[in-house]
Amino acid sequence: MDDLITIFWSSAFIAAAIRFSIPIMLAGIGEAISERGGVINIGLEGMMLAGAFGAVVGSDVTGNAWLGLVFGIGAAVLITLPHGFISINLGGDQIVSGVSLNLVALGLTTFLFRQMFGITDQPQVEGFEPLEIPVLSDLPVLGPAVFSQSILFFIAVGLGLVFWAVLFRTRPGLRWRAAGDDPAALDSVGIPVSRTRWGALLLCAALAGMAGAAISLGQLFTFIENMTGGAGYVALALVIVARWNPLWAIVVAVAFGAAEAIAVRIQAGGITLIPYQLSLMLPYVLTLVVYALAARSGHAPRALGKPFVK
Amino acid sequence: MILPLGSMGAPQPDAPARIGADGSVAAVPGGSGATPLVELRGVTKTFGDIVADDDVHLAIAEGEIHALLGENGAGKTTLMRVLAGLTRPDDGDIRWRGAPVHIGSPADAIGLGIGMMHQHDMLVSTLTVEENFELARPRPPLALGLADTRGRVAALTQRYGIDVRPDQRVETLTVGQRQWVNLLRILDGPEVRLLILDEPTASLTQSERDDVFRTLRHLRAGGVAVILIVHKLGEVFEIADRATVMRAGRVVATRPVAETSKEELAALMVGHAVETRLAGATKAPGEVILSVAGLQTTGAARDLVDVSFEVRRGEIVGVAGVDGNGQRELGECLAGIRRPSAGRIEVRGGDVTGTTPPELTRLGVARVPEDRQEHGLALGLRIWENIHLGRSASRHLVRRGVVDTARARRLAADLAARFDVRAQDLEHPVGELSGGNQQKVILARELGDDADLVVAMNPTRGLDISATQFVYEQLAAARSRGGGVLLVSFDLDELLGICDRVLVMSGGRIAGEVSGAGADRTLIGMLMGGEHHVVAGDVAL
Amino acid sequence: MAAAGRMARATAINGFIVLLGLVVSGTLLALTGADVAAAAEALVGGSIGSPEAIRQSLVQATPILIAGLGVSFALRAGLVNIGADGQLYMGALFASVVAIFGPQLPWPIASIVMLGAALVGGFLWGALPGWMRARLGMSEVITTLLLNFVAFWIVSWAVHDPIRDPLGGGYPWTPEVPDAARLPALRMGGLIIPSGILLGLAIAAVISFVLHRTQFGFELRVLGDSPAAARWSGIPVSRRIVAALAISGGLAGLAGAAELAGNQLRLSDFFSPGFGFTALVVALVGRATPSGTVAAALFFGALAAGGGSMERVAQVPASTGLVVQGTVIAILVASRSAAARSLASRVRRLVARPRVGVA
Repeated sequence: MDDLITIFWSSAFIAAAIRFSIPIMLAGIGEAISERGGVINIGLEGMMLAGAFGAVVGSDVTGNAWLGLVFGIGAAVLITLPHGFISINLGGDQIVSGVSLNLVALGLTTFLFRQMFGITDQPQVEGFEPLEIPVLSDLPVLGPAVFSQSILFFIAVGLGLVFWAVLFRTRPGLRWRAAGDDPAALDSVGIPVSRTRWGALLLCAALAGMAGAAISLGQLFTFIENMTGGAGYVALALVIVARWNPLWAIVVAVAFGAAEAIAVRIQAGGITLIPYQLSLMLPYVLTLVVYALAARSGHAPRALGKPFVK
Repeated sequence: MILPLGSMGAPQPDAPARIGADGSVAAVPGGSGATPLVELRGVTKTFGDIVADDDVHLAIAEGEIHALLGENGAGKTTLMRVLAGLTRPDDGDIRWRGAPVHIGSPADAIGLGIGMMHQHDMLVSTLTVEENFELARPRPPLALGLADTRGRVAALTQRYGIDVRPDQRVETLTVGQRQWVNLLRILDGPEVRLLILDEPTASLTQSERDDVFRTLRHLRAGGVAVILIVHKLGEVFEIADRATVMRAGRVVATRPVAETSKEELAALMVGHAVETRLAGATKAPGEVILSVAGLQTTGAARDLVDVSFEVRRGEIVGVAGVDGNGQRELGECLAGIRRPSAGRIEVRGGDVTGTTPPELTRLGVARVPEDRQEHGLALGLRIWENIHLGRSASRHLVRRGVVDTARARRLAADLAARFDVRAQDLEHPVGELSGGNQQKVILARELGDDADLVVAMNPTRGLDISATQFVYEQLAAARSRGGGVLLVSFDLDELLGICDRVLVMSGGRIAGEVSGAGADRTLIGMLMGGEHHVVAGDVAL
Repeated sequence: MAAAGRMARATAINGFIVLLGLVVSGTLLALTGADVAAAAEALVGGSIGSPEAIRQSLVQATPILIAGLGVSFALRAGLVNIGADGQLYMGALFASVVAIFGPQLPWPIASIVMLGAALVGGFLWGALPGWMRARLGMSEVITTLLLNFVAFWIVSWAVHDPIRDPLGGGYPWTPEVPDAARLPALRMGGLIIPSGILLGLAIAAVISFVLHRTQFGFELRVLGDSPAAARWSGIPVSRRIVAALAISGGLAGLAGAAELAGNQLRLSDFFSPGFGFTALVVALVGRATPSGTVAAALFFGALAAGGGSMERVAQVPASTGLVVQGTVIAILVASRSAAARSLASRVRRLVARPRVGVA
């Protein structure tokens, strides 16, 4: 038992949990907003992958991680446009459209990366190094864990707070919630549903792009094909557990990040009680349980995934 | 816009209306000569086969309350949705103060000053009352000014004596409260010049209704035009200046209320008696075939309260009532898809309460559902397959789970011929057929085996005259071969035309019963309005 | 007659969509600097250019055909199963445990038992979301998606630990399936036909029969077309939902066994390169009909085989095949959207074809 406590209450473990939580936090916040607006994105994974790719290209071309981030956002938004047109303007099936986004993103990024860099020449690009925050980073345990993270962590937490406020305290947020719960009612007061949903979706794409960049520029400083490795699906699950609330998305992301950190620790031989796969499976099982409870109490946006065509 | 209305305790007398003491409308601008506030010219709207509005002309003056009357499906709501920018007409144009305008979206309508209160309110039920107010605010600041809105909402609800907190979620409100919130939201918004209310009183209590009417009179005094869709003739004379009657998508007549009578409006609504009336039953009704006793439901949109009646062999029993008074729930109980919470349903003396649809089919109970496209048919499946649907109990057609498709096709072809289904062949999806032919497919399936008992819900809705007549003939045939028929309909004319007796439902109860032919329509109207305490004469119960 | 006409029209439309997908994705790739002509040549040569290429195409088509039939089956009941990948993994897990670690049986009993075990594994993994949908009201789209990952990690654990091949050269995979359980290839004329594809064709025939000739299949189609009509006619909706997803999963599981015994021979946690998603594409392109699914699976199988050769011969990554798949599916979903349908009906009204019946 003592062993476990020393493992979990250690700077290294908490730092790893937080590091793993950054991409799914960003993507989860974005997806929470998009789903609040009534658009579900099975293609979140693809948006992230495009973001990861765009960020590496941008950073490689400009030599600047921030410009790389901008490129990543741009790539994610770009690849989301057909999905938005199909699911918002045409009223097509959002699920199937999202599957198509994932396929295109995976194929296109793999192809383009090889086209640009060849197979052998892995670029090492400028990324986001951990940032030591003066004073706070000297705190015991939590200091090195929380306050020596890349700047993206603080951006992600900040965006979670901001978008929580946007969602519940501002006009666009109110409209998004109405668009996801009762688009016909929104339409009847003279606000175009499609424009409202586009806003939520593009925001989600931008955040997913940042999430992808957080993987490529925040962890590996290069691009590897399919490097998101299912993080987009984790983020989709996260949104359910977080009950479509950006604030909760922060917390759940860290919890899911911890599951990944545990798995890494097990693989490194630190824990032998359970197989690491069990730890990686836990977020999905937890999501199923929470969803089973939420399906009854009806927390999901009521018009989620339903096209609104006049 | 805040209304000049005092507290509830001391209602102000009506502001001087533009109506003369004799009720004449000469003073109403637009009554003659002056430019109307809004004018609809030749508005036409079709949905697939169904013509909702057919070349409608309508002019509304400033400062008048204009009642819009007509049976269910006469095209009133569609017409109003055109004005509110929710439905785009196929043809026709709209003039606002004499100038042509394009109302392509709700925003256009709101910009003109048109507010609409829908039958089913347009509030987001997961949001709070104040958030719904905020949603409708034009050009609100980026940050929600909920504190400000909360104050306004609180003031409004207090002024109108409505027990609603601004931070209450809309889904926790009663239907009546939601209607009020909806109305107040419109009045709180940009200045309304034309207010449309679609059956606002249907779900209100008497005192709530009085409050709404008082509010409307004050709006009229301020020059606002009001269009009021109503079903109760009494309300027309209580509040309206003029009344327009619609029937089958067309305007039948517009009358100043002072110059008309309930009888005239009722006659205009139901039109001339349909020529093709069925002869009444030739012989006296036989034994009881359907017996319903003390039927109750819980958790439905409109729960049944102690519903009891009988249907005998050789009679057609009608069920009248305004939509939403429990007819749908009764039909669902009888069709075996809703389990009553109390009471008993017997067919030929055997208990069938809570039984399954296939068992009912086996017992010879035919069900013609209200919504043929949604409930009655699988539109993507073929015609013969839709006739086969619900016949799986037949040993001849299904053996060890395998369908004898050749036989099922033959049988379907026979039935389709008998019931005059007009199609090139039965391999087409039933969704490609016209509405009348779709209904014939259902009749072929349900009545083809000479059903003993027929439960038909609005079977002629949206059908043209010849298809309607065909349905009547089939129901009459079921009666003359000794079956019993229960016919639920919103069309009083239809009920009085073909039923031997008519039950009237109101508020989930059977409010009364009248004999079919020659029944007093006023009496039925009163029963529909839930006023069974005043009835006498040939009324049972 | 009319049905045949409709079928021909649907086929033509789908052919057009696939063609459009090829053109759009080809253009996209050309814009990004690919040698499209060389790629196309390698694509065709590697998919149908030789008996070996054809064999490769059929091998690639086998799992996506069988799983695609499973996805189609659920689609006909109105259920979107995007968890075929997880069901395929569970099927392959059951199959490998029985075939490799169970009693050694003679051919063909070993094969049959193994396929049966896979069917059971996938069946259970499909019944679970079916039950969640019917009893708990949970969307099968979400649950099947999540269960993909649960299945994947179960398999990953299994091949790393309890059923790992100790002599596997350090790879986390199982020992090879014994000879008696493998699916043989048949020689027909000059061609080599893997028997897995024949299994798939047989299943397509059985599904066609079930859907169109049995009461069960009829009820599923009613359910898929109109849940309300199914309820009004007394079809036990909940039970049919569970059954449809369970059978769908069972077929996906069978696809896992077919891939295991006919191609890879070992189960690993890189066993499926996304067969389940390709199966969804195949089912959608095939309009959820057995014959359409067969055609689509053969096409995408050829695309996969040709993609491999593209990589070797023309140095174009096989992943570009994904771009083609994704583009086809995007055009497909757009063409079936509400807006496209209303546009089509407006066009039809303009052409003013007489209606089938008269009111």
